Amino acid sequence: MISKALIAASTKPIILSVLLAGEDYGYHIIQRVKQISGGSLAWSDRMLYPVLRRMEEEALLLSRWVMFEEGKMRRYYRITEKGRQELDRERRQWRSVVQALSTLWKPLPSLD
Amino acid sequence: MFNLESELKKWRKNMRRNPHLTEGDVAEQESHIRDEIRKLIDQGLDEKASFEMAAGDPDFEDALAGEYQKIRQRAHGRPFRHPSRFLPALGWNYFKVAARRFRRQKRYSIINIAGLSTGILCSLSLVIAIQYELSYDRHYANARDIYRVITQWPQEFMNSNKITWTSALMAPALKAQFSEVAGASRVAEKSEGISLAYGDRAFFEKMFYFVDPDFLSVFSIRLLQGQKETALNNPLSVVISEEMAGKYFPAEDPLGKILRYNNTHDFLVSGVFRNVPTNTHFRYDFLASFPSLFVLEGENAVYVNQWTSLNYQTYIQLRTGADPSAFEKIMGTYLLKNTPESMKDYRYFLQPLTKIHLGGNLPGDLSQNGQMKYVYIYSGIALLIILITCFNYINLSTARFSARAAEIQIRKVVGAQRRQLIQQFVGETLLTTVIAFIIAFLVILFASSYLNKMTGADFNLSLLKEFPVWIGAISLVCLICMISAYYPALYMTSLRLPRFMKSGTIEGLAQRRTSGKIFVVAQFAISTALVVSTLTIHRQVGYIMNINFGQLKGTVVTLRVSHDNENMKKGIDVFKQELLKDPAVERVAVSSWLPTNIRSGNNAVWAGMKETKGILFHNLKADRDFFDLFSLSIVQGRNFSNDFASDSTQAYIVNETAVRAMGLKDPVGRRFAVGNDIGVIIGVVKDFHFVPVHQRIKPLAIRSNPKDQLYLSIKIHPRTIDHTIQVIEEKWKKISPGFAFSYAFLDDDVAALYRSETRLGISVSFFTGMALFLAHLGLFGLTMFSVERRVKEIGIRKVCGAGISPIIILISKDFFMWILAANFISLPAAYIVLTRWLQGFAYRTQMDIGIFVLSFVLSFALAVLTVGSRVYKAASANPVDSLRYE
Repeated sequence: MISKALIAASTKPIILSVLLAGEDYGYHIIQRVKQISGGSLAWSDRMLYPVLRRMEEEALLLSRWVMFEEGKMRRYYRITEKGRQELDRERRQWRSVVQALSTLWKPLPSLD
Repeated sequence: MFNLESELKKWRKNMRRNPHLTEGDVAEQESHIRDEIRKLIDQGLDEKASFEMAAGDPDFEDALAGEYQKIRQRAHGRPFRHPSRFLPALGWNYFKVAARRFRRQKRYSIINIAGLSTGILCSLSLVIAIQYELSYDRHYANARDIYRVITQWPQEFMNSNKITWTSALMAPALKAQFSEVAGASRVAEKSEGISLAYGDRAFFEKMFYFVDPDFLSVFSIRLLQGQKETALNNPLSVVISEEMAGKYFPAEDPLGKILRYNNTHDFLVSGVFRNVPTNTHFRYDFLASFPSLFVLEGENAVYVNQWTSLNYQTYIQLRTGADPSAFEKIMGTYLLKNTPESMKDYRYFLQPLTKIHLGGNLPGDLSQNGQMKYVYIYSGIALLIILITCFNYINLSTARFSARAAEIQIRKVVGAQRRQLIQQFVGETLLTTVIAFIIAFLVILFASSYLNKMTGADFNLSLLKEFPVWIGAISLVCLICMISAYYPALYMTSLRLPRFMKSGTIEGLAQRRTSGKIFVVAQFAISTALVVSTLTIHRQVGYIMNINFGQLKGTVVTLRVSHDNENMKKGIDVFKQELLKDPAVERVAVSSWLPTNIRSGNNAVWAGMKETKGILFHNLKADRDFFDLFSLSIVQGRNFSNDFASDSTQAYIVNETAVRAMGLKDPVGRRFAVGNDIGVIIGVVKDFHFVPVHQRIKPLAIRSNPKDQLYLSIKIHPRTIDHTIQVIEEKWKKISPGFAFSYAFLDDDVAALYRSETRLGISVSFFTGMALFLAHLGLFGLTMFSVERRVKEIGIRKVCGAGISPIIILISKDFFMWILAANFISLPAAYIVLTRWLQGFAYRTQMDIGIFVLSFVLSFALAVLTVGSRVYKAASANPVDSLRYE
């Protein structure tokens, strides 16, 4: 089980990365993340949508409403240029963290 | 039963109530839930379980709202709340603002309310008048199932090949033959009127009809006294209206009393029915049993038993659910099979009862019908007046925008949304409209009889109790509100602060409005078009009233001699001589019809005719004085004369149209016959209008020696009318005691023929006056506003040396340009419409350029008065007063 704090910290880079592949909507983003993580990252809707709203206000995302069936609307998000730059920054940070942890957790050489 | 959509609706409604969630948040969440539900259903769950899993968490809404709130607070530094949709406190504020403005700007408010009240008064009156026209005959319980049988014959009579007359055999045959027929009744009229007497109470009655017992059930007539089932079974029995019961038997029980008919027969009163409403295509005061005709007519009653004798109306009531068009077909086939060979070209139709009144006039109609075209004209006028009223309101509201700009901007700054501002303006307009409606309604309530005269419309207050009238009234208020509120509201709220600042001054903004000018132009275009229409309609009505016999108007008294008045019929020459002894009586003529409306006709043949069939001629019997009295000149041959014994039986005078129709150059002396009466043409009379002028003049044959049906036309000196009529009455009573004396003036008869045109003339004049008033009220308001706005400018110009005239021209030139533009649009439009209206008359006045010039001058003169008075006052004021507080 991944801790709340880690989920919160990883949400932004994960959303930006998913949207790098193209426009997508909330429900589908949740499904994709769940699939990619093998079920260990199960986001709730009450968490995702406010975050999407915040990222839109930070100009990392842009959204538009699309009618997908008679009278039924979906909000699609796409990444902005600012979002891409933010993702680069996040990527570098995460890579540093992963690298550090990988080094630390490398099995120690046997002295035998 | 679980319904997913309605559950989602409830869910949505609940979410929207949360002040921290926006519309977008809720919509996005809903699309998420729909996706989740779809997935769960695919996995095998039912709709209810899926919905509960996807949206059933009771804490969800608060948690989601909390998340959003946190995010927004972080972004904006303050918590987000969307404004409530319902703010009663703000409503009270709107009301206070409206009331305050009403108090402070009394003149504008009064102009606004006066304009709206006048507009509503006019259009509401028209709605009532239209509703009245449409309500004819609908009060009968079986109205939808009652039909009148119409005969179509292979010739044209009185401009129509359809007539309302049928054979007396038809109603009983249809009832006996077809199970679809629930009831059938004949109606026979006594078109000449009859004399009825009870003791010494004798009156002349026109609404006396002979009907079958079924009439009472078909028309669901309630008898207040007497037995409905038996009242009309016996010959010489009659049921009478409540009103007639009061007239003949004021203090007695009418049942079982005897009414003396034409001094020849006694009718037993067998019932009393409730008075018939006025909105009925024919009104009746007396309904006598049909078999009475056999007693009254004696040997003539043989006509009642002939298919070929078309003298009676047939009304049938079909059983509910029966298909009238299918029945019409089988009825036609049956009648074709069972009527004589001579009627093989006749066709029969069913006319629904409720369509009779507005279905135009057919030969044989029991009374003058209305016309659908007038309903359209009234509706058109109502719509035009509503438009003028709304344009007035719109113009005044938007012109006064500058006075409200600050209020609107402040409301916007403190967070008012556009929707709320629109609601405020619409609410204000609704308030004003409702006040105006109440004023208009009170005027209608207290001045209905006066309005009746002014509008020329049949104006029945009892209609106010009817549901459709209220629907009409409420729709009217809503329509006025919609048109007059939305445009100013959208206009005022659409202006953004920067634009308002950029325009320099608030006044600058108001000046830029172009839509206001369009509305003023439209108002004036409508009212000028109405002025042209009024003048043209009056000209045409005047023309048709005077086209014939105009010079005789007011001096010819007409008397109708009843069929049964044997004494008078025999003593007609004595009576004539008696009348001529009075110095006030100039001339007396006897004829079978009045020369204004001759309604009998028959086929005519003549020596040397080429056609195999005769031509339908209108026919008349008249004595030689007839031509002199009505100034009808004989253009060929001679008048009837006592010097030729054969004149009384064989002489014919025909009109010029007849000569043309027969294709004869020298008709005098030619053998000629109408029906079976063979004779010789002795003269040709100049054409005159013996049918209403909507119709072309037809061939007419006049014989002398009227016997069976008599009208007396008496030309009297106009100064002593009352006295002369008294003398005539005394002499009448001497010769025919027991017959009520009844007279009419020829011009009243003529007026009755053109009642709808006269009424149209009166109505259009009234409503044109109102439209002009409204348009000028609007113009006055705008001038007042314009002058107020420019009062300092006027002051400064005066100080700098400008005279009064240049200032007047400067301020008012715009207004005059608008009026010029309005005339430019409306006059050609009016020309086109009026030319079409006039084409409905066979004889019509010409469209006169003078009328257009007059309307143009009138609209200008009124505008000069309206604008000029106000501008002059401002221009001649002392500039010190306007500039003092600067």
